[in-house]
Amino acid sequence: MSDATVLLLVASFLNALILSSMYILLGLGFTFLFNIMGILNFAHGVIYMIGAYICFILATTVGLNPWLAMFVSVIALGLFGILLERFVFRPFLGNINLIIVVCIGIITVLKNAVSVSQTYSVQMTPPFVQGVIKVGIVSLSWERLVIFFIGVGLLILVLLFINKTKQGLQMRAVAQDKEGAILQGINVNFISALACIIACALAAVAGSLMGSYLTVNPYMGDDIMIKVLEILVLGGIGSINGVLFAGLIVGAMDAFLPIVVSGTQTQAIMMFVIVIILLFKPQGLFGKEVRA
Amino acid sequence: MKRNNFPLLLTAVILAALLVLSSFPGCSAKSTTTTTATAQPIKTYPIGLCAELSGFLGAYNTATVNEAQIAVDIVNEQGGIVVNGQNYLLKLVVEDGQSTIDGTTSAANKLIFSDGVKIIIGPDAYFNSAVSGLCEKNNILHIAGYCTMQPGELDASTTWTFLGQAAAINYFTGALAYLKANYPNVKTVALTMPDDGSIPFFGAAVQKMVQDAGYTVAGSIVGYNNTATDFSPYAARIMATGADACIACSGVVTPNGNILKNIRDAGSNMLFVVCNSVIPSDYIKVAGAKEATNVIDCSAGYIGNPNPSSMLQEMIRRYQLSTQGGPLVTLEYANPVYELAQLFKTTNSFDPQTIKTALQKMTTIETFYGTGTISGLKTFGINQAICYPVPITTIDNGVATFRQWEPALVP
Repeated sequence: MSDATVLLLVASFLNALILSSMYILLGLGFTFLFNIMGILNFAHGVIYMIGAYICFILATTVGLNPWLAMFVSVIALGLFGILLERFVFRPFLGNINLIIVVCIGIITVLKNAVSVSQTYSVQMTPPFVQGVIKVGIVSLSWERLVIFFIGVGLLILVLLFINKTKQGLQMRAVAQDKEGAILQGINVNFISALACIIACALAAVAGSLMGSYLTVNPYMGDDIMIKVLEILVLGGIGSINGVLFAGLIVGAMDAFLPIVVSGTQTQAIMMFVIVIILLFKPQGLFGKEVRA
Repeated sequence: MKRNNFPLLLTAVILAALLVLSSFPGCSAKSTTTTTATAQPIKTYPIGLCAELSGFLGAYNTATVNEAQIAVDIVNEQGGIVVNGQNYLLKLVVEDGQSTIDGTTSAANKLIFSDGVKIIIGPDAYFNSAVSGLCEKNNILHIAGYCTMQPGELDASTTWTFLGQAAAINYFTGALAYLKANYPNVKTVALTMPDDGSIPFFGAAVQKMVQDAGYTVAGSIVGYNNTATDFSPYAARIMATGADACIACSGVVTPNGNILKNIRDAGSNMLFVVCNSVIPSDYIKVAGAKEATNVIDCSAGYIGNPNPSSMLQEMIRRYQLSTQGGPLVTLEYANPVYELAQLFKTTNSFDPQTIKTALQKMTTIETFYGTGTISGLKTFGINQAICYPVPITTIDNGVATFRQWEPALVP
């Protein structure tokens, strides 16, 4: 195998890990809301976009350090999550049609408000870290490594939170049996708000990081949202293990397919693979089978 | 909150949204019409502009529509257009194509059948095929600003369509000519461009031009997804070709800038040639100052290149006033306005047929970038593309240096 081929494969493997970590972060936030509140939050993509813009504006216009800007973005969107749960989701719980309409409303208002308020210029959050690390024949930017480590770190924290803390266990209880959880004295509204805060905060982290790695624009949430939906459907909606596994699969396909086929074929092949898997596992890889 | 309060809440949300949107200057109808104020009753002549004001091209096209409006303002302030003794002010009627083929088709239909325009400028990117056919059927003069050479955009079947600014092929021929003259060590090149349906057409044309220029094309064209989350796989594929140089034949700054960044981060210093509507400073911003090196940039964007035409100087002055010093974007809608103003004056007519016939007989026309040549028979199958001199800039260690105006010609 030539050096060029080895380099290509190693680079693609690293790309797969980095992409997967971002997809999983966003997919987890989406899954939290579905599990706890039964809500398919289609506005998750624009929340990711708003997170990126808050970080970008604070880092460029205000001049904050990008890390601090990301921290503020996380806090701001966490607070937004509380408002979202209290005034947008809670009133319409149980009515999927109304939830979808509300999500479309949020998407339209936020995306257009950002779009018309921005003048044309390439917008990018300043890099969080700079430089390149070289190991053997492989070079990799610190920026990409940091994205990967933050993604993995947050993933571990979220899993620890769910499995080891009182609130995390309460979340699992609400997800499994809401009425039972209420009877046990669990404050479902508090747990729902917590899920919204975590989901929005994770979106803010992902948006801030990707706003530095790529660019910031009002439509950046659209395509990532499609990825998230692919992951959720493939992994099984509501399954955290499914998000982890499907995130790795989609990330790997996104990293490896472009080295053999062109851009749009990548998307088509990916959808084809997902459809094939769903033909054999309609509930997704880790989803629960629902019998009538 | 009870569920029966939902209509009230929804109404409140919609009203709030409208309030928010209407508070932004770019959202009001006024921004799409001429801003020239006049007290006397004077006739206006509407020109349709089919632009992608929302969607992935939204921010970019908002800027290019502003450039077109400045061009209209310049024409109007110079006395407007006199046709048959009657003085007219030009007025842009803008419809949003939403960065989709369906949206662009709707916008063109609205311009023709609702707004009643007889001349349409635009659209951008690969959306011409949604407009050219409609114009052909309805005898509407169509001056496009960009062409990806897909069937139905500009070819022998689109006699009512002209390319007012022969992007992207114009930039490509300019970059290729500069590469050939100044980089004799480059023997093999890798080609990359958006996989937006143009690879079999625009891609095939540029591949042939590269081969005709004596280069070996390494591997197949690397087509990327414009909206990919990560462009490093494409960079890895380009590097794996082992080419001496990579030519990014078209596309916008996010993918091309990121491909450049990833190539550099992966340890390669291969020559990177970009030929599209992106100014060098944007590449430096996206790729990073250290990574933006060993780059040839051929684009319409102005960065202080010497010897601009007087019209370009005036355009720059006004644009910088309106954007607090921002650089021009591409003029792909402004150049057609400028060209049309000349044609109205020359023909003393607004009749599309008269203007079309006149333009078909011309060999040169003035553009913001200097004298444009009307050509394109070999490339497009019809001699209706206006080519213009393009500025060549090199970027090294994050510093852009103007090299020359390349008199790029499209055969």
